[in-house]
Amino acid sequence: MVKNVTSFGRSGVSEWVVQRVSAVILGLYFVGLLAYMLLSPELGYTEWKALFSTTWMRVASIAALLALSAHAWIGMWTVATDYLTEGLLGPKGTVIRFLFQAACVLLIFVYLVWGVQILWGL
Amino acid sequence: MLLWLLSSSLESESGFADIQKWLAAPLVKVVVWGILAGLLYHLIAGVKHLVMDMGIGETLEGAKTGAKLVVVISVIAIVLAGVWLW
Repeated sequence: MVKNVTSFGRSGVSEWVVQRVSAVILGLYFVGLLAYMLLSPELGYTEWKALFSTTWMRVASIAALLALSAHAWIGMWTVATDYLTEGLLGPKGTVIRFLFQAACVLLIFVYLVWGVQILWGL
Repeated sequence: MLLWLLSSSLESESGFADIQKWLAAPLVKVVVWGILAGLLYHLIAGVKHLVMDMGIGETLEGAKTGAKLVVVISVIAIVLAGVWLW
């Protein structure tokens, strides 16, 4: 059995579920946002600002942001453990994969903090 | 992740006008279209995965038609996104 310290669960089933739940959240959020933008051709700053000032939109945006972070991490983890391996890259494979995943986590964290700052207007 | 930069300026004061000016530039439009194209394809292929998770189209034939459908719908969506931007 493969032991993987970079997964959250023991078997990958929780990642599988998180990946799909976050996918549905992201899909609904962005399709909804796209529909709003398409249906309001004369969208100005006032309407745009008002939309993101409502509590429900902030909650939806935070949910989408958290879903995006989880989705991106699981996606990058999947790609890295599939393709950045010792089998494909030679003895340095593990080091390269670790550095890649560390960079991903850092980037996702920056986006998360940045997104929260935008949403809550710090 | 250019989109984040855009939304961040949108949230601030009348940086909204700056963003509108920015989005009028042809090169910016091409970049944004490229990002949208990637996201749309990802979204449509993702929906196909969810449909297959539900047990629909899990045969070899079904998977082939599913893959073709994803490409066709994606191309239509990406062209429409281009029309929207220009």
